[in-house]
Amino acid sequence: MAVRVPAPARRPPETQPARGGSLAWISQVVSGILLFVLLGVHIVMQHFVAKGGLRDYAQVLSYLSNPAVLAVESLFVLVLIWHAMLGLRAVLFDFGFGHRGQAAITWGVVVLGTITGGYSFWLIAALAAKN
Amino acid sequence: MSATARTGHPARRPLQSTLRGAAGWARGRHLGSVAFLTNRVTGLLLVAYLYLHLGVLYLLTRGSGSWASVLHLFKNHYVLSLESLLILFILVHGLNGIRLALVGSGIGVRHQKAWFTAAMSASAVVYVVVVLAMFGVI
Repeated sequence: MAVRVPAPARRPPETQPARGGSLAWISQVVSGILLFVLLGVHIVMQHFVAKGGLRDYAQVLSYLSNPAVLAVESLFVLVLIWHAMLGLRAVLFDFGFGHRGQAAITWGVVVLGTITGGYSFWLIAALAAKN
Repeated sequence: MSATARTGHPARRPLQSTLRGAAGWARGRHLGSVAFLTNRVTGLLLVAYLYLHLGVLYLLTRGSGSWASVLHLFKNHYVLSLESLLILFILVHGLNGIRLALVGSGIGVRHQKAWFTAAMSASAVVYVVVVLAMFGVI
């Protein structure tokens, strides 16, 4: 009697790690997990701990005077931009550009991420320097 | 001979077939595609918000007066409602992202539709709680 063996479950195409490169996919997952924690801390500290839901000017400067807060906020910015740029790259890759197009997209998101990171760290440093 | 070869134009999709496709969507046949598209769209919206947020934060460097005008704006209920949507996008993108990561790693592939339903349900529940907290109800 023939025994029917169920076919192994296949991962749907949209979840294939090869999409945009497996290293990029792993990096996206790791940064996503880190973001869950860092974004949670950021939102709770900025909007739920602060009275009235938002910090006033003096409270923002006082908050950023703590070196531990500066370190966490800087890490948050770094991970967020990394995750966002990888995501943007993956979305653009979905449109099926060729190898040269994909290389240009990768360079484009590297440049955009560097500019965004540079501006964000300047912002943090400028506010920390006001203390 | 295909319709394309006969007429030189791609064959039109019959209405019946289109309706069957729409019914398939309603039955959740394409739930994987919906989940994928949801993740892409919410991700792009969050990237757009990132730049808006960085632009608004620039006003902090201009002094307390500029920041006070931002705080005043964010007390408006319409702006607060838009801000609450950000929480919804973060929840949907985050929880659906965890599902994609697990399924992409080969974990729970057979139950990926149930995972999606669970992720969206959890997002809805947390969103309602957050909105109630934002508007001072709880």
